[in-house]
Amino acid sequence: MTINRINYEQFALDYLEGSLPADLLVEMESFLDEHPDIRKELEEMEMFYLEPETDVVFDDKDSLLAIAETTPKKRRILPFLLVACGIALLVVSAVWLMVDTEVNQEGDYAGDENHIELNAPIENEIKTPEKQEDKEVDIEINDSNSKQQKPENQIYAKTEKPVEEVKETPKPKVISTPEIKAENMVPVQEYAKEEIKQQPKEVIAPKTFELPENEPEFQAPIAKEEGSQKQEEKIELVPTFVPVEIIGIQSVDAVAVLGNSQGDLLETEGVSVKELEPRSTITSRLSKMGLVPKDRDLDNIKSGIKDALTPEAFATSDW
Amino acid sequence: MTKEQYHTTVTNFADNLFRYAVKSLRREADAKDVVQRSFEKLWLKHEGVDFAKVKSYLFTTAHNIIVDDYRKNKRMQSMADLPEKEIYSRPDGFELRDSLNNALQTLPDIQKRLVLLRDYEGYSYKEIGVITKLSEAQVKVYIFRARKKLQEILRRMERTGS
Repeated sequence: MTINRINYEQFALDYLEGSLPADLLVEMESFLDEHPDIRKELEEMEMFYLEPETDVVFDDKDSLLAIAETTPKKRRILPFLLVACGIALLVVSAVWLMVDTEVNQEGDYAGDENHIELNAPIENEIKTPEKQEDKEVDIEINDSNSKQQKPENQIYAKTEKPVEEVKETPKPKVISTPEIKAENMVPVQEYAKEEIKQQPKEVIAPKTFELPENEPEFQAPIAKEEGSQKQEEKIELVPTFVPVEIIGIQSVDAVAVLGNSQGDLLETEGVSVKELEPRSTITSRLSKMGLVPKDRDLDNIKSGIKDALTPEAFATSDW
Repeated sequence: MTKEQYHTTVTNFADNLFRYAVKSLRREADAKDVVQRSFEKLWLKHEGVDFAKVKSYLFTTAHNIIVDDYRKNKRMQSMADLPEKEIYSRPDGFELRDSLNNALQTLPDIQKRLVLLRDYEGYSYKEIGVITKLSEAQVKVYIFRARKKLQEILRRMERTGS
């Protein structure tokens, strides 16, 4: 290390106290030779040392000794602080989760009019439009076999049906039809897609209908003749046509016959139902049953069917 | 450090610490406060303090309290503002030592504390550097300038006869 006028002070004390290492002592002497003013300064410097004033004492040592008896240890405080912080954290987290859950639930159902609160009164649920619509369907169930739940306004497939079995049905289920709406025709469209296996005498069976064990002849629904050009013809649905319900076999079977303005049965979803029955044929058969006035007043037909069509009448008709 | 070692520390170093504090602050009440707080901190940390280094720990704590609380916060009043009775003074009969103590009070605070640690407690320059968070070279420079200053003051006092 090179000693110069800037840094010589840090070596001066050791030089004066005689504790400078040998190598630095040589360098220091060389430096002082080059700077006689500093040598003179150091030679004339009289080192004064303070002597400890032993008579100055701390006269209250008992208070210092008492610290060890009264001052709580830090480690005794820390666990309490940690526990307090932990409890506070848990409480804050719980509150946060509760608030967050409520916010998410509100957000999920925001604007969802169909959302029903789990705790909402039952009356509110009854007042929903769907429930009110259900009330409009007048259903009379007089048969113990009709306890099966079946969709209202269901369209049934035709099948051959022995008259005897029809007679076995005490009282068929009667479904009023005047209020059938366009959306109620959806089951008809779905069912019409199915291929027909036998055409001649057909009774429409429900899509979800389970054939009893003694009804082996029950056939698949909806006629469709391959190769027929009429099959490919699309006839637009005319919702204004009033479906005609016919009591069919079994207790709740019924047939909804749809016609268009040309007197033909409608076809839906590209599947022709013309093979089932032309409207004229249906009307004719209904007339034979005394159900269809000649003026083809559909309202009269509907009311007549509702009041007069019974399994017995259906069985005696020329279906 | 055990409780018994703490008691030993009080017995051995309380006076030393008080002298260092009272020379640094010149107010006995402040010096006692520094000593009290230094031992309180020592007891709080006693389980982590090596008894062999407890003296250095105490003086380091006292030094930090003086620097942080009494110097930086300017809690220490100017000597000119202090009532005469509050200024610590030694009994009569120690002429040279009193002169030296008076000269000591004219030094900058850092130089004064370094000289006290060196002369009163006999710390090495390296140890003083640890306590005061200065390098060893800085400690040597400060103390050299302090002694040079003390010499000038004493010589001036001799010349003026005061």
